[in-house]
Amino acid sequence: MNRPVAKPAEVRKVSLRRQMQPIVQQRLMIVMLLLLFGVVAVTARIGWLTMMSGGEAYAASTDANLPPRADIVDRNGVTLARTIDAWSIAVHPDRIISDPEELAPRLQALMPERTVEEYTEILTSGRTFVYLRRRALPELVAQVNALGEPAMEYLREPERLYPQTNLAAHVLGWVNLDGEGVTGMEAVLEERLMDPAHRNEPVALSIDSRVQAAVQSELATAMRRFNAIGAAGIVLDAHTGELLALTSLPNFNPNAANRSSDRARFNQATMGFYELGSTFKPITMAAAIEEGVVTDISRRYDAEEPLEVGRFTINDDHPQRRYLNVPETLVHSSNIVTARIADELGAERMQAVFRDLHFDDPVDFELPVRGRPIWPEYWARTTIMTAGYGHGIAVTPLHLANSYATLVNGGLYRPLTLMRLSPDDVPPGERVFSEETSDQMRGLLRLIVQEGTGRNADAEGYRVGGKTGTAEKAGGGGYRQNALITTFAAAFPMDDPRYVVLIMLDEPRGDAGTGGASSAGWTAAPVVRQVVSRIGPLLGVIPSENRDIDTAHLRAMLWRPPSERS
Amino acid sequence: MTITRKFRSVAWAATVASAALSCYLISHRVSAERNALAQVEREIQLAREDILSLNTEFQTRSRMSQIEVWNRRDFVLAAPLPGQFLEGEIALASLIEGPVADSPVRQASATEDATDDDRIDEDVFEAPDLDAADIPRFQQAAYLVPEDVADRARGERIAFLDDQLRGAIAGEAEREDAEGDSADQ
Repeated sequence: MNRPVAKPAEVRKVSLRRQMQPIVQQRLMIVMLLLLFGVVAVTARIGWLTMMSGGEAYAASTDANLPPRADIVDRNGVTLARTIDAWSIAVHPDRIISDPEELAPRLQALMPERTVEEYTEILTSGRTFVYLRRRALPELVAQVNALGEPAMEYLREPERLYPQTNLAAHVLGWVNLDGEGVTGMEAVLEERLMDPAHRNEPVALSIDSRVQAAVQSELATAMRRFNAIGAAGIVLDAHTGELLALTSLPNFNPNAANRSSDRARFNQATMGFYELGSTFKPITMAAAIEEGVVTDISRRYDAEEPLEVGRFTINDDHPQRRYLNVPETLVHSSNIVTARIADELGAERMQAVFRDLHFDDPVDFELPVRGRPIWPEYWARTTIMTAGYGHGIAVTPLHLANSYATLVNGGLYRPLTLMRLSPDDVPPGERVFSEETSDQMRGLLRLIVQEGTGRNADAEGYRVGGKTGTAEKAGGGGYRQNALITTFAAAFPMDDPRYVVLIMLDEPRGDAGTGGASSAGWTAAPVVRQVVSRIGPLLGVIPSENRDIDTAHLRAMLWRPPSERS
Repeated sequence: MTITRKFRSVAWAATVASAALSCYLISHRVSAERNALAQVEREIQLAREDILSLNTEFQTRSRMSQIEVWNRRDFVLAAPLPGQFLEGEIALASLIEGPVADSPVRQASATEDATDDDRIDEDVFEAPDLDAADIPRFQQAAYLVPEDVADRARGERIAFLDDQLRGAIAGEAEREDAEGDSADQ
């Protein structure tokens, strides 16, 4: 009887639940949708990120292969300049833990370029970041790290390295700490070296590092031996105008260019203007032969007495006191006869030849050359005469080397270049002398080395031909008797000239080996012999004991004292 | 009935979730592969940098000035002289000291019937039929040393032996003489 009857309160509860059910389901649905949306959003984001980051990583890996600056190599692919990752040491002075008074002397012991006081000042300055050393060696980084100061920072930065140190330093130049070229080819080629499209390919210069090394080392030896204050050496391809070696001593190490002196940075071969003396005589002779002033080289000119023009007297260094023909003039380096021939040639024709050889312009090539040659303003009769034997007109050794290339290569002037040329790029050249004149000059230049002042340059088997030049340096209102510029301009092999070698020594002093003589035949010529016998085989010029240019007809013109006649 | 209806939505949700999950796993797998690839590429890059820096170090250590120092101080090298170069084979042959043909000259002899073959034969320019049985695949050539030359060579050998023998006998005699002398003293 006692039927269970639902209590009114429970009934109310159930009815409420029934009422609430749709609302709860709706809310649950919303929450679930929100969660789902969140999951989808997160998944999408992760997917997006993986795709994007993958792409970035890939892009970065291809980019890292591109060096920040292109390499510079020589004509055979030997690296002359390369950018590497280097260490640099920096400090955060505001985060220093150890005692600056203790740390400073230790730093000074490791990096002696600053004083202890300077280090203390840096460490106590409270600045956030100071470089202590750019371009540090890994050993130094390890040593500084061993000091145990956590405020030190070691960074890897791109650094320009010149593996060959001071080889061709004047040609290469150097870069500043921001990696921009300051001088030399680094500055000239700045755009090409930084161009992202070409950065992968190294730039090839015309320099041959083996030839450059031979010239540099032989020049350095000669400079030490003769106590010269400077020297310059050039090796030039006579048929293309490519410079295989261009050196000026003293030189510097481009890896530490800021530690070199101004004098070492001065490139005498391109910036130094010198009165190069007798080396001009073959040019004057070639001009006279070319212009028909000298039609017969066996014609004799008066060299019995010093030549007096106005109040000016022209003397010979090796007076012969007789009449001389052209071969004899060059062999004995007679100023008097050269002056006579220059006088006959006249100012106009002489200037024309000098202009054709670009003696009135700065050297036309890649490196920036300061100033212009010293070109006489007024060509008096004496100016013509003295210019004929290389006085009163000053050019750089490069001018002279190129004019010798023109003399022997068949008479074509080509601009000089420091870039390696492919055979198609060789400029056709401007004709200055005829083939016949050039042939005749080859014989005469060879004769000077066989019989004349250039005997010491005769590298056995290489058929060297060339001319000495000894000039007094101008200074103090006149010429200084004992301050000489000795030059030897040569070409080899003379039967088919391929290379021009020019050696210049600044203020050499003769020693016992030269009998005290400091003229070019005793100082510069032996360097040429050394250089030629070293670089000849490297350049594919094979020395031969039985091959030579025929100079018998020229030798027959030389007068010999009766005792020497056979 | 109601249970299945209720569970249907759950099943749907589970299907969608597992599909999304598998999609996510696939993309995760792809990105893992990609990272592994990037890792390999980084390693290649590091190896390249190593090669570059070692190469640079090598070039720096073998720089021209260093080679120059070694050549001058340690090896004392000098530039080659023209006598050290040769122009072609004739110059090379001229270096052989003494007459080249020292041994008796040997001549190839030809038999009489060989001369008949001197006339130009049209068949000569045709390739021989290799299958023909009468042409041997391998042809052997031999030449005879003329009788008199061989005799002379033999004679010389014997004479040489004689010389040696005589020299040995003479040496023996001398030694005996010397011993005899010393014994006398």
